[in-house]
Amino acid sequence: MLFEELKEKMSEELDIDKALIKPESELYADLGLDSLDMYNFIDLIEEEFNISIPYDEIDISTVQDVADLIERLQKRSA
Amino acid sequence: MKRVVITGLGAITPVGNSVNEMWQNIRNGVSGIDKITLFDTSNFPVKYAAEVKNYLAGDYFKKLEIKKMARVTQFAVISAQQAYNDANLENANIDRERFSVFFGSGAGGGVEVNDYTNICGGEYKAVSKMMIPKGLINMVPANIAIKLKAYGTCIPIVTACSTGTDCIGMGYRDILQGYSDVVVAGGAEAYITPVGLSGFNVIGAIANGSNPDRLSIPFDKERNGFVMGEGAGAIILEELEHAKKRNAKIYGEILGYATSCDAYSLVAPDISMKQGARAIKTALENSNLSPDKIDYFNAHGTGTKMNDSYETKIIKEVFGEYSGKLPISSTKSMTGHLLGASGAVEAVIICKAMEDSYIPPTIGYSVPDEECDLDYVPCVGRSANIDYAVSNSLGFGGHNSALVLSKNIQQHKD
Repeated sequence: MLFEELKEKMSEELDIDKALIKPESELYADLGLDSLDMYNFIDLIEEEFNISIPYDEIDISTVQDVADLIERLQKRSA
Repeated sequence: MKRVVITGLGAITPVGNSVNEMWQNIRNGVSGIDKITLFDTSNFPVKYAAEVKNYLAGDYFKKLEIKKMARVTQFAVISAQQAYNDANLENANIDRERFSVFFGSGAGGGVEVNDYTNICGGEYKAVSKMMIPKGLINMVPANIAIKLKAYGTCIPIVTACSTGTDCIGMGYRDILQGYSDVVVAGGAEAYITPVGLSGFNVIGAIANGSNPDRLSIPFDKERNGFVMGEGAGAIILEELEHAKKRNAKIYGEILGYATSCDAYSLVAPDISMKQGARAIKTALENSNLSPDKIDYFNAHGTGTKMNDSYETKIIKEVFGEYSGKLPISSTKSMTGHLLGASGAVEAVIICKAMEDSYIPPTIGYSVPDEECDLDYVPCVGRSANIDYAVSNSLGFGGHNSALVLSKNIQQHKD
């Protein structure tokens, strides 16, 4: 469910073809993000999902990692 | 000898967010000057500016793009994309390694992200990660290159208020010298911020007064400064044979360009006028035109006391007896002063003026100044054939730059 929502937002805001966004897609290698995109992507995720991502928890390389991180932080603040 | 023509136009300005909207307003003498809305001016000495109206970045860009682009860069990319579309380059089979970007800004995007209070407080980590990517001036053309897939030369010329004219001039030279086939050239500015406006206000450059119709009044005796504007202008320059081969629409030709430096003062023009006049004279010589062939002169005309009387003297020096017959206008009376974007926007205005055979006015003009006694096309524009026009720009730092444009491409340099 959260993955689908994330896919929607990534497709819309990062201008990435939905078909390319799979749980195992690598943000850098498969989706073409660069380091600058990553900073802003994290900002965007914080805004869109109303969470605050602690710096030392940013350990994400695939779309599934992002979905897991969002879920974890949402549970923590619930 | 290669020749360079104009095949596309783009503009986002205080009087219109597209070339046609802008031109209709310029033609009709509509002012883009209004109360500042970009920040709270209740405790600020300057109340008026010429802002881009009805602008929502989200109408043009994805959220992630907005995070990476300063307002100035957004304007630059929008105008460049318009010019690119107008020239129908997406569908043209161009060599993208010979497709270049010459696009500058006076101030760039640094003003948006350099919050020095954070640095001064010792909280260095508080500096935005976007400070460098948004703040460096070369990110203006770099964003355009990414958007338009332009792999050739990518350079911002930074010459304060002559930036736009110099970017067009240097792009023109790049094609003449054989380095590029197609260039997107222009300038952008977004400096209507407390710091940007204060910087110009404390040195007495900003017009003060409470009647917006009498603030940006170039060549008028009561002028007392410029009104800051924002926006961007872009033109597509193309080698003539390249343009012909793909049947591109041609707006006109760049016949000549010259630039000089006073090497005299950081802010005041050299009253000897030697270099200011030489830039225009040389551009005319490059064009093989005698001064009396010029049908329209788009002046720098900022509305500061010094600029307008100085520029009038330069015009007299270059055009001699003909200066009294030469129609001159300052479209900054409507757009405000777009600083690094001004020369680019004014080049776009000249292309439309030539196409439409209409000389735009200097609006708001009412009190003649004995030091400014030429034909400034006061208040109302006029229909007139324009075969040849000059655009003149002057920048802090002593920069003097002039372009000569021609409506037709047949009769020259063959």
